[in-house]
Amino acid sequence: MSEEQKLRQLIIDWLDDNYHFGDAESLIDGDEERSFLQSGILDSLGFVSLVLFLENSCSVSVDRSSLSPENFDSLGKILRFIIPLPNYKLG
Amino acid sequence: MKRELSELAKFTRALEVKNTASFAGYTDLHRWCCEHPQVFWPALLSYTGIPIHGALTPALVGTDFIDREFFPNIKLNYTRCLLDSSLDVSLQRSAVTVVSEVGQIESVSRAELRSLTLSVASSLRALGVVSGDRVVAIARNSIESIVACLACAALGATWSSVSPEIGAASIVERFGQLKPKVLFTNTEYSLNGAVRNIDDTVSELLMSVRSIEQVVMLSTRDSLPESNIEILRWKDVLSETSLTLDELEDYPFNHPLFVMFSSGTTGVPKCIVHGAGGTLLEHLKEHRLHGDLGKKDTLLFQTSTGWMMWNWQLSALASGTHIVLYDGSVSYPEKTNLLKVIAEHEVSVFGTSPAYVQFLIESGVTPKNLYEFPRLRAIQSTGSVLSETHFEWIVESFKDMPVQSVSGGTDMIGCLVLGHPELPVQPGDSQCISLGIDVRVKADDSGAHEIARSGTGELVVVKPFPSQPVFLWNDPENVKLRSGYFDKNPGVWTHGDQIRISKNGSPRILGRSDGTLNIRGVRIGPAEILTIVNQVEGVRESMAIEQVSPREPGGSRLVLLLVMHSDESLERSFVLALKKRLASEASRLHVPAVVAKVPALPRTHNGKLSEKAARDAVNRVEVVNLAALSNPEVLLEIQLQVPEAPN
Repeated sequence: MSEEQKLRQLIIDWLDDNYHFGDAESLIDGDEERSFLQSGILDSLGFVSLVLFLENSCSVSVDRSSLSPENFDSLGKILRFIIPLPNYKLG
Repeated sequence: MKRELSELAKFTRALEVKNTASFAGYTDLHRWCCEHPQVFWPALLSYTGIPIHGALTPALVGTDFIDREFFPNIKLNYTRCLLDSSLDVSLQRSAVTVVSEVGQIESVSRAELRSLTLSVASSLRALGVVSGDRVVAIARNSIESIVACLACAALGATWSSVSPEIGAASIVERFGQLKPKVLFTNTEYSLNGAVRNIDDTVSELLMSVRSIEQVVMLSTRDSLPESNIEILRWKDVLSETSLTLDELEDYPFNHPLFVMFSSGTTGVPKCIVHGAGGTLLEHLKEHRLHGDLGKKDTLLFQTSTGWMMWNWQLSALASGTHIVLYDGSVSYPEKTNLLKVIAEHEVSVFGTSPAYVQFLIESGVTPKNLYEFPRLRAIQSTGSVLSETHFEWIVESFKDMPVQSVSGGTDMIGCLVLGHPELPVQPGDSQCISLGIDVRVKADDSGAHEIARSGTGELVVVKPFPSQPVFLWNDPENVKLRSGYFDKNPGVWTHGDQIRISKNGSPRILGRSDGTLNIRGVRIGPAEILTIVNQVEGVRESMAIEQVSPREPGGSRLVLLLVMHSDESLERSFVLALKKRLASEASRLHVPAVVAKVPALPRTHNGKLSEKAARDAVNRVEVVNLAALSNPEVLLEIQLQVPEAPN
């Protein structure tokens, strides 16, 4: 499994554990660019919790000025933003 | 801008003159008021100037908490007190403004609010609503909800509301006990941009609670939920022929006004009945004296219709204050949404929670860089404990203003510790104890179990107060009332909080002392969770506890311990299905962050479950009185199964 696939699964699992209880994959519906906000997958409060989780799980630090829909409003955006961060390491 | 002499200072001066007394400071004043309830409470009621009828004496009959009655000779009408003109407030002044998450704004003046209320009251009366009936509501924050509540109170009926996010089972469990005559309901609500329909919830409620004779929709939607009961649209209850304020009847001081719900560790939620006079007098005291709220103020308290702070905020109309309600997610579509409302609507007192403050901190938002908040003069916080870090962040990053940590609860529909317009703020502490409420500490670490004015221990109140429940519903012999508040420490009110009071009288709430959970600032009875969990196939027994989690909004997270019939480990699919069921039948707040299978739950030698021992174990603090447990070895297993929360 590639780094991207691993992180993707981690995010799906987190969405299931905390918000959608098994329905996250179907809500995303194969569209990695689907807006979390507009489709009700996550709200701003949820973004903060997700970022805290990713910081813990991926050994990264997210500058809070980057905490915006431009970087976190879809699965694809999160993957593109998180993986290149310095010190990124899953697990 | 320096404000004029505070209402508390004016009231104190009036009390000194009338009683030839002299108070050295707030602690002195507070003690005197507690020692002279027959003088203090009438003086306060008289000072407020609200329209009441009858003699102020006696202020209190009886000294026992159960068999007492405040102001037996006073009558009033709650709605008239809120909408009366005697405050010298312009009828054109804004009374209520509601702002939705997508920026829709609705506003009514005091004249419009009065007219709407009396119009709906006329319709309710025509529908047969009379004094003593129960009227319930599944309501989002809206002008209509406020009007419906005031119309109901105008007729002497009793109001109880929940927010639409709550699951059908929880609503039936609450409203079913009350045998309501009328239901006001929204048919959908909007959260994070998504419109959610609650027709199924309404249908289930109507199927289960057969006492409901009439449904009135609070929404403007054209289509109606299917039902055998006649359903009226909002416009149908806007009667053309209207009552006048003068025509409203007065009711006794202790006439039931609101029913609030409080969940304990077992059984269905308690239905706490609050009287009109006690509620209003307590709120007036907190608003005018502790908060210095008046007709120049605009108050926004983040609350839903299911929390007592909604009722608390409503009463601020009796002080001429303009109230702003917020409907929807505070962070949608922008994380700064609520801040924008505070700035644009010139809110002068903002009420929030540690969970929201933590959200702003974690989001990297610096409010002072976004808005000036020129009229904002105080921030109040309640729901859970506001830490020193939060105090400091507010002053540095939001605005340099008094940070008032207030705390009380549903049980007394008000606060026991509050702000003060002049006393300094000590980060982490509330500024003072509520005036006239004799709050003490039952020191549980002294061994002597003494009740003292200062120290650390269980929060107790040693004298009756007007806003204690007038009774609990379906509790004619006061059995539930005694067991809820008086059995643990006979003769005094036990509130269920831990408190520290310093020698100079400065209080700090430390958290709950009973098994009640506080998740994201919302109090949840474990029974609401366990009733659902224990019905799940495979579960033998369960326990819900709170684990300290500094990075969570509210500072804690919910842990569910499961003892299963089989030895097999928990399947992920099982855990997700369990969470989904809790979210659907109760609410998202009832969903645990951690679900752990354990071989057994800690019990005392007489077989009683010990939530405290389990809580101490997951929080990695020393378990006091280990010898009281029959199976202390399970604590180690619990620690192995429940990871520490991330710092």
